[in-house]
Amino acid sequence: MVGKHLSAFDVYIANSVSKLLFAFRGSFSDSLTERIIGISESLHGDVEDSGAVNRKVSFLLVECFQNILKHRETSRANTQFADDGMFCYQAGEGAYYINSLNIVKVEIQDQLSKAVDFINAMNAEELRAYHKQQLQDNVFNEKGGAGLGLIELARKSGQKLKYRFDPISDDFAYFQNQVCFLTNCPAPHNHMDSTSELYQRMSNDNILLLYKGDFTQRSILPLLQIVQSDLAVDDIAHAKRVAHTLIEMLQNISRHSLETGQSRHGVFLVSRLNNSLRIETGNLIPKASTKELRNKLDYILSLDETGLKQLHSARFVESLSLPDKSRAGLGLIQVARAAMSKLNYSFIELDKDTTFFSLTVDV
Amino acid sequence: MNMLHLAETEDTPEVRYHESECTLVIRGKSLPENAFSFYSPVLDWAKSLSNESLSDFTIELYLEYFNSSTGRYLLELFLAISDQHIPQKKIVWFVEPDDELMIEKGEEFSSLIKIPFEIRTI
Repeated sequence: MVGKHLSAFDVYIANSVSKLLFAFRGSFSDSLTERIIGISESLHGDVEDSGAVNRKVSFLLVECFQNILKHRETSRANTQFADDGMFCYQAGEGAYYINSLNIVKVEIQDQLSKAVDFINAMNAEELRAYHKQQLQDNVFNEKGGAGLGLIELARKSGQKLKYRFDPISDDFAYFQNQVCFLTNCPAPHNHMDSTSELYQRMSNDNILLLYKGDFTQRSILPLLQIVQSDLAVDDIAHAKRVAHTLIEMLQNISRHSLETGQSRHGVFLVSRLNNSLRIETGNLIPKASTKELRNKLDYILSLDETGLKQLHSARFVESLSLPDKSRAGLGLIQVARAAMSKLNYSFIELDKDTTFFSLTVDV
Repeated sequence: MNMLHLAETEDTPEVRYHESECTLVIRGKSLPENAFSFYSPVLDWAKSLSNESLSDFTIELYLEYFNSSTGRYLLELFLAISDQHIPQKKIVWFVEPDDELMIEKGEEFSSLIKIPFEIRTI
């Protein structure tokens, strides 16, 4: 990754083989799991992985998320922490990885390590027997001990659980664990280092949400819901501007991004500034269309509020006779009107036919 | 008269004609990928209203938000209604009191069509 700030292009380049990368840093709420599963399901629209894989991965997502929620009180009880940690989910090259990172007290470090080591030392048969025994004994240890959650993660994933601690202070540490599920991959990758680095970079830039993947409607809707319910913007006028801008920017990717395989890929980042959210999107476009897009953006940038309003009304009426019936051609003008500052854009040429286009808006 | 009722989905609004009040109500959010295919039946329905010898007709919209391609078809719907031979026609655009964006959108529609367009807070 290059550059001072983490950009959409950095994410695109560093994760070129991922079919999906989703990272959420901030306040974890119960409803977030549902949305992540919604995003995950969009992966299975293609027939590559069966419904059974989908169900198993969804199960692992829920279980990992429950784990992270259990630790939430540690970060909430201490005002020094800006977030509860990070939840990162990625898929590609025949494997699914869930890395979660949360804040724990140093005093439970030993207990946690022992619990995971204990589970990791067992083979499948032993795990099954141990699971049965735990169910019979009705031993359900909420924290620490080798609870049912960990056993289920080990059994359903069929892989050893990876974990590590990164010290924060004498009292606190980041606990990260990685759960993976392999469908067509000889051995799992270790994403622990890259997850820690990503967390640091997201913290530095106050990035709350990062997504690289498919931008068809079935992925856009859960993303929109996450921004609306989990990156809470209090006043209604602001919340509406954010929602509106997001829809236009995300649907722009879905309409204009170059199709690769069967899907339209792009990158999407949301960070929190003082009184606004910064939204950045990035996607591939045909190099041949850059000139027209640049002209359009420069023209929008040259206009003040009144100018934009007049341009919008004029184009609005013209849209009625656009030959392409699925669009109105008004998205960028609307984004510019809702924004709190001027739009920023960049074009990065990748090869003779393809350009990476990114757009940043504060709203 | 033809019935018109489209149930609300995750990305499209409920559209329902209340015959006794001669009122078409559009309620929810509208951000379909393809606004044309969603709004086509509504437009066809609206264009057939002339045959009904109505004395009055109202469209009430309670939209949380809508995407730009929906805007195109709402404008087309309003213009289609303007063209119908109905003596009393009006559009009522309901907004939450602080929702500046939807108020602005209402004002823009109002400036582009010639029949009464009222912006009312909920």
